[in-house]
Amino acid sequence: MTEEELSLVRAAAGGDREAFRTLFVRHRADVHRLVYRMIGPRSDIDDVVQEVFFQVFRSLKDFRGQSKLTTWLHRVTVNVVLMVRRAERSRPTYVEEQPGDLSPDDHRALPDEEAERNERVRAFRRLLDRLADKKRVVFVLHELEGMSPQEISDVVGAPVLTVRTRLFYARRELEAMMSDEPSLAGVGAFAGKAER
Amino acid sequence: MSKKPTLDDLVRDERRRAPNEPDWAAMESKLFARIDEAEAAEVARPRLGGRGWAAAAGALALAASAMLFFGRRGELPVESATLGAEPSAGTLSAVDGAGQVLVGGQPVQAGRGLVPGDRVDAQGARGLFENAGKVTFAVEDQSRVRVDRSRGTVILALESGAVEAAVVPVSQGEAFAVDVPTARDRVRVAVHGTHLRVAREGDRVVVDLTEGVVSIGRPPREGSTYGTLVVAPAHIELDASRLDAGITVDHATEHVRKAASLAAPKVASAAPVHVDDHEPASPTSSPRPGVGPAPRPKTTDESPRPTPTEATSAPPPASASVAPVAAKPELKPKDAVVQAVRSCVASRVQLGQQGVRVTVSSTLHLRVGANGSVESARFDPPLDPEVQTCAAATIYATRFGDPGPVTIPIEVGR
Repeated sequence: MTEEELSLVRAAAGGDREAFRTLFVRHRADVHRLVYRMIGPRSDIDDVVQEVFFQVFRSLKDFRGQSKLTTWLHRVTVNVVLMVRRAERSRPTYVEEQPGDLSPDDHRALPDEEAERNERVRAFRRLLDRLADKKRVVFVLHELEGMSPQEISDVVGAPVLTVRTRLFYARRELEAMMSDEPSLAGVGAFAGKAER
Repeated sequence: MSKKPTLDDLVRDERRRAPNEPDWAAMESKLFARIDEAEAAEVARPRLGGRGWAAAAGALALAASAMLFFGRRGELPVESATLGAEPSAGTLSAVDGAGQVLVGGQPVQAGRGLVPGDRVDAQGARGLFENAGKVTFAVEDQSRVRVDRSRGTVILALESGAVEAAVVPVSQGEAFAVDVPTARDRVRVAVHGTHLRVAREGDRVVVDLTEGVVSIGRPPREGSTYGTLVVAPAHIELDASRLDAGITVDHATEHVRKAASLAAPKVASAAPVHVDDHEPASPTSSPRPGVGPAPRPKTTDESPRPTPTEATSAPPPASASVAPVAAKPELKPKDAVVQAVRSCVASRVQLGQQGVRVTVSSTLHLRVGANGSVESARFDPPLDPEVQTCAAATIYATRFGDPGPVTIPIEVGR
């Protein structure tokens, strides 16, 4: 963490709203993307992001600077998302699939191909959702966010070996579930995926 | 499918997807408003003496409070940003029974208000307290509570016995809470308007929820509570000293203790009530209030969704409800659902302001099980989560005649 960022954190922890606003602006997109990766396109995603930063504001004074700020932010984000999901297990929830929210940022495909791809993505998210929290977290952080097992270890507070084990079983379970998912039938295993 | 994708392909597809850009300015505005509210609430929080904090330290908190949905958590209603005289947590409206109610060890009469630090003992009678527009609660016979907070969220610490309360729904934040002190742990329950009874026997805690939604978890230092959300009707049991061991939830209406009337008896007893400002008298050896029905088979809180309930079961109390309009027996199930959704929209979405006509259109897709209960519900397109949460209670409580998919068009506007 740079000196400039550390001084921002200290100022924000001391109640400096402008410093906190700077941190919010600097990191909000990353937090928003991670929340999106973890819970999918839901209508309350902005509320979850807001909650993350509310918790950040309350906890900044406890941040010692022993890890990277981004790692700490990932930790707070993961914890908030897990709290949300735990809370939802005990109350009626609605399935909120929002096809219009899928916005590819690469080349445009033909409509049929795009529709097919969207359906695959939705099916993939359904399967991700069926993974146990611990496995889903490490899978999302590693495969979608590109974090190394060492970084994930800092985020989830588990040994690197445990992270690797969870990754292994997450992949294996996903592959097994895919064979039962009609829109993903025939999906093969990872092609020699190398861990970073 | 033209080509069978690999898992690598799926991950690559997912990586390429980007979430829609939110309204950052609106989010920032809400975030800072929320921080301001939390800080104001913290400033306004009553200061307990060292003795009071010592007593509260390590306590298990079981709080019942009003909430709407996740997005509103952490927002405390602040009655006043300025420090001043503490408002009353409730005023004794009646002593129901031949015994007495004591405040600070002294018998009290109807009209006595409660402030933080007061300790209430009900001996041989039930003390009924009224906080107009917020909550009505009863300290049951052989029960003792301490008032921990009266500003914003009314918080009672249940030291023994039972408290029953009808909480008036609030648009945001928490209105009422019951703390149950133990030596090892803390919990919180959050509610969107409810009628509930919290009873303890040692560290065993039973919550009977006749209406509303409660969340049970550890109370935060500030703001609202994250916890296990449970929808009424529910009979909930937990070990207050071992919250991590989980809670058990039974949604069968017949297993939920029937809500007692919290209305003051027509002829109020003149018998005094005992409120202790500090150390209360030792509890008597007379029987304690029951902590609920006998144990029955229960589902765990891991259940993906509460069992849908019959619309005709558990008559709701007049003072609190989850959906503004409950399914009326004379209405057809579809009509009852539509009416509930409309009421939820009307109560939570500002329609027709400044000459602007607002129309809310969606389609509600239900899957009805063999017994006529709703197994799943989905709005397409989704409505405001607040509206959906509001409507959920009625939707899942409605019973349909035939199993299978049900589609209900929703259109609200003016």
